[in-house]
Amino acid sequence: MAQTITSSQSTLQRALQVALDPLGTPVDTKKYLSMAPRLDALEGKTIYLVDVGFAGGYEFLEQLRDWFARKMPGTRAVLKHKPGNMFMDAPDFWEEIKREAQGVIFGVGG
Amino acid sequence: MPLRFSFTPYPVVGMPAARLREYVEGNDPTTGSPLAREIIDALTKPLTSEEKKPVPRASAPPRSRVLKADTEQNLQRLFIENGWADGLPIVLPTEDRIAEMLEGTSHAPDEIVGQMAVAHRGEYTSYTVEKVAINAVMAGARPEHFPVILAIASTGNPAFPSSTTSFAGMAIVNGPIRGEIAMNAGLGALSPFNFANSVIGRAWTLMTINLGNARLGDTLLASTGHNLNYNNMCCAENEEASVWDAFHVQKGFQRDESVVSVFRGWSVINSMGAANSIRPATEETAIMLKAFPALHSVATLIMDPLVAKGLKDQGFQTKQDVARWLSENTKVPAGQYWGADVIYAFNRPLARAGVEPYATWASLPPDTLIAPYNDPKLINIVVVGGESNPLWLTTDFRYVTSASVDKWRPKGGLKRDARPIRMPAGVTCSDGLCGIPS
Repeated sequence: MAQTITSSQSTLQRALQVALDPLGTPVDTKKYLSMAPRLDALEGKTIYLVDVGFAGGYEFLEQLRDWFARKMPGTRAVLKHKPGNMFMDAPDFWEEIKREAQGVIFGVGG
Repeated sequence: MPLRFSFTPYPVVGMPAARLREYVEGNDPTTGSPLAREIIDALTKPLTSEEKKPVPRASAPPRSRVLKADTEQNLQRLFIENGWADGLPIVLPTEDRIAEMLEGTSHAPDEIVGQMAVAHRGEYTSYTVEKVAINAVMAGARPEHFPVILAIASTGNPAFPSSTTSFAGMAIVNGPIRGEIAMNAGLGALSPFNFANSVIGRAWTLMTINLGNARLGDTLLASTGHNLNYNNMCCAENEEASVWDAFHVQKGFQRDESVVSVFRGWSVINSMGAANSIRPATEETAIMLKAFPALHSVATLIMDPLVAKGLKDQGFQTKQDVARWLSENTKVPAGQYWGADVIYAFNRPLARAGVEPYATWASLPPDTLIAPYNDPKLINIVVVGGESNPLWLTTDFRYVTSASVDKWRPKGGLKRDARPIRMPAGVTCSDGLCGIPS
């Protein structure tokens, strides 16, 4: 069984002190964007499956692509690597997705 | 912006295809619902009103400059239990102590020093000279250390950015400030003895926690964590014993400027008795470097002055000569290189985009040797140590940046205590006894 240390408090231990707050000030960089409208159905639609680059993500999305082929053959699932690494912007690719697909699933993590 | 997430069992990396298929056909472990159904719903279920028009969350009210008055014991508890410390007792940042620390610079307390975030592209926090002073006091620093701590803060670099891979940092100080505040560049410089090395390194840790907003399990997800995070290999370069240019001179500073340089990586290998004798230090280092993935061609050697002298005797006139040799002679099979997760993540995209030499390396048979440290400018050497043995450390650390310490000095000169704390002088072996009583 644990025991609790008890000791008579000295004047010093009882004295109140004022310490300063060590935290920085949050910089609000959030952007409040609405989500893209949802699709009524996936039949006849093209969905991009995008691997952002973490090891294992692509292989998982291969299985998801195959799942679409088995279970929803009317949906065209297109597996893609995101250009550049996961921390880089890819404006041309975002345009490609808007142009070529009606929906996108990002695989993030591995 | 809101996003719709679904989760698979974790990890997926390294799992056979059959297991990944089970994941796709199985449940989201966080909700218990079928994963595929969730994904379909995420694409087709109508948006909620908040998803259509996100409502900004109310900002947290500005924090009070001072905390509620309490006893020393309770405040110590508050700092540790709130995750504002490094798990160790701190020096309480009281008004008097902060005022004293602020005498260590001429910059105004409310001057913005920088912004920091441990999460890549995460939410940054900005901080003033006073906020840096608070964390410096907490670390046990004195005003004479403050210019170096401010210089580190000015880089905006956290000592351990958030990654499940558990980063470590390193801070190397060059120039006259080393001697002025009695930093250790010699014997045991990376050991826990020297006051300046210890408190400056700890201050970087506390700044990362409090100014970089490192919150374990929230913004910081380092899986194992890293013990170097306690002090970040903070030391000075042994410029006096080095046969080569000082590190800050290599980076374009004058020799008489005081500079702190920060590095980031994961791994440190000790040369373990390989004393540049049976096998040259260059060859031994090349063997060690093969253990790293060679991401971005970076490496940093922390080298005892005796190693540097030995290498110079062998014909390496500069640090760059050593870097070039290592770049040309460290070779690994292409299959080993491409098998590293970080290489897959960062360099596979380059290969796919046709960027050389990665595109060529990706096309080679797995057993073909390549020289993955292909940019010798990214191989760094820092001379540190007490010449008790010609040994060195090989790291995968990347040089990040350097910052002027002199910019942050007080105009009237360093603010020193009447009797500044100094480590005991190291025992020299000049009498042949190495301090051992006869």
